[in-house]
Amino acid sequence: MKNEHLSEEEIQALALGTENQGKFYGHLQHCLQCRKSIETYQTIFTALAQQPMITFGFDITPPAEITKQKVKRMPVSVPILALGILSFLTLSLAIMGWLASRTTSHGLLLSNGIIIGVATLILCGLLVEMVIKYRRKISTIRQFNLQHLTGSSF
Amino acid sequence: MEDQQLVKQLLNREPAAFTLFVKNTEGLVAEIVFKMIANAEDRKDLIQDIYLNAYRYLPNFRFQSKLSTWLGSIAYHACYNYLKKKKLLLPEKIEDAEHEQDALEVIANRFVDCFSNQTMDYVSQKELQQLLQSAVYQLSPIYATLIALYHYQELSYQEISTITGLPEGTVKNYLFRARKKLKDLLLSNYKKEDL
Repeated sequence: MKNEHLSEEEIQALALGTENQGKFYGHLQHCLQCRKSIETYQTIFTALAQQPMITFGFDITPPAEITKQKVKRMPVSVPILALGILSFLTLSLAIMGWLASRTTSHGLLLSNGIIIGVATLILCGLLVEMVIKYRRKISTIRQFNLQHLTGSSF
Repeated sequence: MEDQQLVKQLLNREPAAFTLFVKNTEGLVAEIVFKMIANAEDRKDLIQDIYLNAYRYLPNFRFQSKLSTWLGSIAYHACYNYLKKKKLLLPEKIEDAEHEQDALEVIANRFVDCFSNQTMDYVSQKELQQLLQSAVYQLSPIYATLIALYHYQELSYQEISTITGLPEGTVKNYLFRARKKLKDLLLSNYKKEDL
């Protein structure tokens, strides 16, 4: 049995539970001072562990690399591009045919008129699709930024 | 979420990942910064800098430790450099100041009253925590940080060693001294026979 008081290291280790109490059982049974010291440390450690979590109390500004979203060019798919080129060529040919038909026959004028009509419709369709895609893209970017702004506050 | 997944999302500039990163590490970073830096404005600037630097150096993170430990290390060194720059790493001088001693005496008296009360009800527990918190803030910044990391954040000696850059043995030694100082601080007015 250990007669002298436990060292500060031993008391802390016993309070932390990193030291086996059995080793000092004999001494602790009759030494109120050492027992009190261990209890004091245990009270402090318990209170320390129960401290409420500290928070920043303000929002962190995210790095600029995150907030600055690059607005990419509208992606144009190959079939749409091909269709656009084809429509442009058809329209050009139609205009040329129409100009030529002014001095020749009426039938040619009619056929050229149809071509012009179809080409114009295709062009309108392409334009509408491009505008819709552009709006969708802008809307997604806005939602992304809004989600970030609301999501970063806690 | 796994660290690897979070880092991947952060590198892909996903704002939601940044929010999650801040949320996951807020407790640890706050403990370090609040224990080391007294000025609220400086704390705010430092916290911003810590997250900014973490984001910038994230591509260099090699998963040799937990992401939070890595960030803790950035936070600790940012605060340490700040204190060094301001020449505030002089704990003995601060503790020796007369007004600080008076403050400690008041804390110690109140702690004795609180501690000697046999019925530790909710109010006294709460008061004990407040007294303890005040006492921790009386410790030197490094001691207070080590106490916070070990006892609040429940980090291992190895993790604390990674964060602070101090050898594990030194961490243990400093923690031992910090605990003793904390106890002495709180019980300096205890009568010997009460112990």
